[in-house]
Amino acid sequence: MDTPAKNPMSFEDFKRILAEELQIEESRIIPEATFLDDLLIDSIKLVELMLRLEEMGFALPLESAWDVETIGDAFKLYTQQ
Amino acid sequence: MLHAQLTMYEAIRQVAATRLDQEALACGEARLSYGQLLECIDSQAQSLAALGVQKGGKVACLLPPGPEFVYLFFALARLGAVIVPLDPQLRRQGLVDVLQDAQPLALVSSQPIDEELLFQQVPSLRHFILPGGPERSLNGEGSLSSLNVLPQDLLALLYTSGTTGRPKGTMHTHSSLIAPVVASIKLREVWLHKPSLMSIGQTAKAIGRYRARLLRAAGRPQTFLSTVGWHTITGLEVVLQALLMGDRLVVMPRFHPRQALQLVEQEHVTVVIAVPLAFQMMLGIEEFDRYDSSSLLICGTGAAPCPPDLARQIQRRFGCAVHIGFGATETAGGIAATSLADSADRQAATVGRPMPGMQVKVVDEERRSLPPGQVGELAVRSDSLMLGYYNAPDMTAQVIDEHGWYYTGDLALIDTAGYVRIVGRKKDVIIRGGQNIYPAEIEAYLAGNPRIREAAVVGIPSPLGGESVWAFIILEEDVAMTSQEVLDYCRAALELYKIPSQVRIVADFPRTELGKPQKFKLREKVLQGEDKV
Repeated sequence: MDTPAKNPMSFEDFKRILAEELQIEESRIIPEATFLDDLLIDSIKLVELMLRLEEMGFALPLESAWDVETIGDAFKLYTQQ
Repeated sequence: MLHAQLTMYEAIRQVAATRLDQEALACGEARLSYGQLLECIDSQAQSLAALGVQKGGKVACLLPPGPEFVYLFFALARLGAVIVPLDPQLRRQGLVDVLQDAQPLALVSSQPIDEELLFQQVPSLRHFILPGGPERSLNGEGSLSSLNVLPQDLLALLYTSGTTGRPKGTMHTHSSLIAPVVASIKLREVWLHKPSLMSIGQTAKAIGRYRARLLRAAGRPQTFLSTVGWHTITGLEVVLQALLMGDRLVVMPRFHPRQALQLVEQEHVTVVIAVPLAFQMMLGIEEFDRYDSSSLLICGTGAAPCPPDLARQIQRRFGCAVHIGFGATETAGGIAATSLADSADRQAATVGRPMPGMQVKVVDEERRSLPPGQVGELAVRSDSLMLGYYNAPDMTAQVIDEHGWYYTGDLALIDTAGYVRIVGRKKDVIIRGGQNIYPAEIEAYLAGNPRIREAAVVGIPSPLGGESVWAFIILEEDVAMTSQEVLDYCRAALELYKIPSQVRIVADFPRTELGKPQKFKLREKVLQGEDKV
C-alpha cells in the first residue's frame, strides 16, 4: 500500500508496533536505542521491517535503513514523511 | 605477466613497477598511487617484522575496507605471514572462537577492544595494534629476517560459518588467491586487449550491445567499486582483481546505496561488484536516474542467487552487462561467471560458463560424473582451491577427494553449451544478503537452552530476495517460553545476521518416517500462510 496512514502515529504507537514486529520488549524501544548495537537489528532486518511498516500504511524510504541509527531517528523520519 | 607462481608481494611489486604514478586507491579524499602504495606496504612490513611477525605467523585483522587493510595484507604477504581477515562486526564470543581456532600472534583492529581480556582468552595473542595508534604488546621482539616466501605458502585463513557451530578457516596460499586474477586477465584479454579470431563472433555481439562503453573502456585501466566486506572472499578478490590487474580501486568502508551511486558518477566507475540485495537497494533509490552511471561496463554480482528479473533490471537501468558470478570461499571465489556476450536470458538464468582454468563436473551420489543436462552435485578443480580447512583434516577429506576435486554441496546442471545452472543445494544452508548461514549451527545453539527440546531452522524467501531465518521450536514439557524469549536468547550470543527474523513455538514438526524434521514442509506452510504449523 502506498498511502500513509491518515492519522500520524504517536511515539507510543510507533514503539508498540516496533516491539511487536521485532519481538523486543517494549521497554527497550527508547528514542536513544540504536538499532545495531542496542537492539541487534542490522540493515537487512531494518529494510524488512520497513517493508512491513509500508504494508501497514507507514511508509519510510528503504534507503534510510542505512542512515537511521536510533529509534528516535526512525520516528523523526516517519513524522517528516 | 601475472601468474600463479608468484608470491603476492612479487605480484604487487611487478604490477606497481610499471605504473608508480598511476592512481591505485581512492578512499574518500585520500588518493594513493601504486608507488605510494608500495612504500606503505614496505613500511608496514618493517613495523610488523619489528614486532616479531615472521613467516607462518598469523595476524588477525578487524579492519573495515580501506588503505590500512591493503597495507596489512601485502605487508604480511611480504613477510610470508598469514592474514586472518574477520568481520569487523563480529561479536565478542564469535571473535574469541575464531581467534582461539586461528591462534594469531597479533590482532589489528580499528576499534578499541578490551585487549587484556583477549590476551587472557587467546594465549597465542601477543600484540594488539590500532592503526595510527601505539600498539599494545606483551613483548616486542624480532627483526626483519631473511625472507624465503614461496607461492605455495599459506597466506590467508578465511573463516566461514561452520555446519557444526565451529568456525571453519579455509587455508589459501599466495597461488590460490592469485589464480582467480589470472583467470580474469585471460577473460579480459578477449574483450579489451586481444580479441582473437576464435572469439570474434562473441566480441562482435558484445560490441553491438555495449559499443560506446566498450570503446571508452578498451585498453585503459578499469575503475572498480568494492561494496562488499573485505573479510569475505568476494570482497578480497575484488581488491586483488583491481590491484593485480593494475586498475584503480574505489573503496567504500560501509555500503550505502545512494553513496554507491554517487561514487559511480564521481569516480567514473567501470566495474561495480555488489551482492544482489545491494543492487536492489541502489535501483530502489527514488532519484536513481539523476545519477550518471554511463561509465559502467559491468555490474558484477554473486554470493547469493540473483533473481532473473533483478538481473534484467540491473542490465536495463544501468545500461551495462551483468556478470553473475558463482563461487565459494573454498575456491577463492569465481567458479563460473556470465560474460558480456551472453544473451540476456543466459545472463539471467545461469551462472555462465566456468572461469578459465576451472574444471567442473556434475556427479551423482556416488560421485560418478553425469552427462550434460542432468542434475547432480557440482564438483570443481582448479589452482584456486584451498589447501583445506585449518585444523580440520576430517572435514577437509569430506569435501576434497584424492584427485583434488572439491565437492561444492550445490546441485547444478551443465548444459550442452557448457553453461552452469544452479538448481538447489545439497547442504542445508541459508543465504541471507550474501552471507551463508548453516541452520545446524543455530539449531545447536537453541538446543543448548534447557527449556528447548528441539529446533528446526529454515530459510524462507524474503521480500528482498535471498532468505530470512525462521526458527521453529519445540519446548520441553511443562515449561513456558515465548518467541520473544527465544529471540532474546539468540540475541545474547549469535552473530547479528544469524538471529532469526521469526520464531514459532510449535507442538511438533512434520517428520520423515525416521523422525527427522521435514524442513521443506515447514517452508511450504510458511509460504502458504499456515505458519502456525
